[in-house]
Amino acid sequence: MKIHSLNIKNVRGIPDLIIEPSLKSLVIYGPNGSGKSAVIDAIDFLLTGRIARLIGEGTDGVSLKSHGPHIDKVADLSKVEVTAEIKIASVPELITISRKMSQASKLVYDKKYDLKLAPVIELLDRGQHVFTRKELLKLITAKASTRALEIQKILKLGDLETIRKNLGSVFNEAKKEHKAVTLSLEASKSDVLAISGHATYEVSEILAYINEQRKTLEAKSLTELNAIDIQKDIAPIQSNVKSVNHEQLTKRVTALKQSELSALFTETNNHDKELRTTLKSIREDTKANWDSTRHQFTIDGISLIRESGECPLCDVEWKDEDLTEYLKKRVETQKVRQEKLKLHANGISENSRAVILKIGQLAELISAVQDTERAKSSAILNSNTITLSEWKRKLNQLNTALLKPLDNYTDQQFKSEEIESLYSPQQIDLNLDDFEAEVKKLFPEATPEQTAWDNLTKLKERIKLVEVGEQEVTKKALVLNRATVLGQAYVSARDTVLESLYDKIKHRFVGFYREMHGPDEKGFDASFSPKEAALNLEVDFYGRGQHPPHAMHSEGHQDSMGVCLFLALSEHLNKGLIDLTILDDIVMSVDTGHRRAFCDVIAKSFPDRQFIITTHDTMWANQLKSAGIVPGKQMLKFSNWSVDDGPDVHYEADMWGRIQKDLENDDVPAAAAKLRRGMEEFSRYVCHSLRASVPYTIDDAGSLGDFLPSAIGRYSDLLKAAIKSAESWRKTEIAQELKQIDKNRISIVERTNAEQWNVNKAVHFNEWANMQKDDFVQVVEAFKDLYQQVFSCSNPSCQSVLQVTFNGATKTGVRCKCGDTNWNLLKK
Amino acid sequence: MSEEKEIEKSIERQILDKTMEKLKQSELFPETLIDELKKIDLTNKESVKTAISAHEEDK
Repeated sequence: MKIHSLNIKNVRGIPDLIIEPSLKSLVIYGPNGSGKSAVIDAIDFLLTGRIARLIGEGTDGVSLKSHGPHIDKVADLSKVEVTAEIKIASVPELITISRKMSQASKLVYDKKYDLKLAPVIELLDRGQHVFTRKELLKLITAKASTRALEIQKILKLGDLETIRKNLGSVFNEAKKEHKAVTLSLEASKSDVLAISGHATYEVSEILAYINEQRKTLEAKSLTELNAIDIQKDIAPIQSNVKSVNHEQLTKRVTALKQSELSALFTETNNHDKELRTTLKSIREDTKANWDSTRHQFTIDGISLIRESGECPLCDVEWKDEDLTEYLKKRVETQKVRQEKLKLHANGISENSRAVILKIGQLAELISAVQDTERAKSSAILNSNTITLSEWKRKLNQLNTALLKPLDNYTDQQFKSEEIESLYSPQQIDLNLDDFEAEVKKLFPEATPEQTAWDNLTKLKERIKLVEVGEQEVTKKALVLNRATVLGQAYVSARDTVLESLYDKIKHRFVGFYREMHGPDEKGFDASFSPKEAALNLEVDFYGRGQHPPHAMHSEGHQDSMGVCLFLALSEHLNKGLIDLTILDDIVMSVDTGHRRAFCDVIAKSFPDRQFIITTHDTMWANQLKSAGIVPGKQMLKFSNWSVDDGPDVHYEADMWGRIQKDLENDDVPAAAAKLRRGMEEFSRYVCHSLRASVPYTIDDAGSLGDFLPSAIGRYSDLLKAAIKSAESWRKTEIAQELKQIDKNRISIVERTNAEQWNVNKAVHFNEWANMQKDDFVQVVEAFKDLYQQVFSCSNPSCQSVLQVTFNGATKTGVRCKCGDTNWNLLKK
Repeated sequence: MSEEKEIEKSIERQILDKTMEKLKQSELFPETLIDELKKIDLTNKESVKTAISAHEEDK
């Protein structure tokens, strides 16, 4: 697909503009702020329904509908429209397509082209034909860890990263929800254990306990643990007398006595000593303390180290992988410390949970009688119940502190003696013997049947909660497993597809770059090694090994690498369907020599492609013209942008037409200004092409008076050299032809009076504005001939500016792009 | 060049298709769920969560 004509109405800074590339390449040049990029935005809008510049990072508060239209047309989006005539290979005629901002998602065209246009529109929608300077800079300076993402952005594949992040977020939430239901299930199981008296939840043990209770009630044993069956076939036992199972009471009181807890305490005491020693060593070592609180920061830091080995914070350069190794060692040391802390903190925590469970089991046993008047009026029961509750609270507090021992497990908060007291009921003023005796005195022994019935009633309720909890955990585990597999599958698929893409375009990228940089980098090679989200791009530096682009290569070389990479990617992805490439203000850091080589790459590798190129560099615009990439009449100069009128646009080839128009209006000063400015730019470029000597100025300024005489002098010298060369080879006919060209040159130059400028002020170009119209018409004619017949190829299909060719430092010839002009400068 | 030839699938499409191929190898993803994932917007968290939370009866 190529663009034949373009009509932009009220898009960005352009109120109304018609451009006619006529299926050929086009250069839009002019100073910053002249509205060049608005044309790119308009094309972008027409072809994709979006404006890429208004999407992505740094565009908060910016939207297509608010900032896409010309500022005066925001209120009436139906007047914001881009229309184009395009050509696609399978349709002989031009097709008109258009899009309005009021219906941004709808590309309007004759429906008879539906079938033919469908694949083109799909490819256009991917937006892989546009490359901007902003993207180029971000690509080249990207770290390995983000380079793949930058390439994805250039290829307009931002959704890949959005999806990856989204799947990561789904995984994190699934993990969190799974953890929450797991904790809830553990709490439900603890409630069951508080009745059964077991230390851990084993289904067979719980079932055995239930069957024991059922046996007491002369019911059959159950073979499976189901809440609904627990009281199956048992008649309810009702009693008005509050009672307690004395045997179980004795057992549970005994389990909490100091003698029973001593083994747990010994173990806890050992963990406590080890934990305190480890914590002390960390707290006293500043570096260890820092690492402990910022462990993740150190891990993240490893991925931030620059490819050159530099620290990203202080810019200190470390040799080889030294900084990475150093940080890895610190991470490893910290990992050992953390594991040690975890071992001892968990050891204490597990034991305190065992005590909490025992307290819960005793509390559970007397819970049914606790609200009776008899219990409430007993001082012994009240004080010991409060002490039991306080004991449990302290143990829970200890467990919470152990989650972050470095912050919370301090000598001030938890002294060793306090840990000891948590395993010694006497020290916490709990009189278990009195407590047991008081309960037995106040409440009669419950019958075995009553105890069994009460236990089964509570178990039925609590095991139901366990069953619900288990179902929830199963569900959430499934979601978590799916989220894990989905995330991994997506990342793996992404890497496989992108790796394959890099593999396919690598040889083209290297080929383009070698061609662009010629002999100085003929051995250039590059390696792409994608790894997860990262992409290592290493390029050969003059046979001295592989390095990241920004490590050794100049900014200009990096620019060319970025452009070559884009061309290779774009060519592969748009192959055969989109013959349009838009380069928005790129190649700025590439020197003029390499730009010419870049033109050769474009001419050789993309002869049928339509390029739309914007630049603020007039020299680069002229190079594109002289290299034949862009015909002379496809050079659009933008200037003097204003809100009301947009840019002042003129086609370079139309310079003579516009001068003619001024003369028809008897406006000689306007015509003189156009001629002077046009010839100044043109002769500046001729000096470059012919390698003419120009008076040096530090600001690279200069006027027509500096450039044109130098260009004429150089042309004359080169032509004389060509004549001598032809004579030395006895090419008489060629020598005659060249002499005729020289005569023609002399005649035209005389008519311009350019050689008299320094001696005769009356004919200086400063006086053009004061000339009579008839006199000035002759000047215009003379300069037009100089432009078209002397310095440019006179073949209408070429019109390129003549250039000196070299072999090393030796001038070998002068030629135009098409070869019609081809002077040999080498003598026999 | 010819617009009539079938264009290569977009990078996004290729990645999604390959993802689904990989999911087919997992018993956690029944066909109905894979069909659902093909239809939804994977950039939408709630859609993904809803999809992978359903279909447990098919697993």
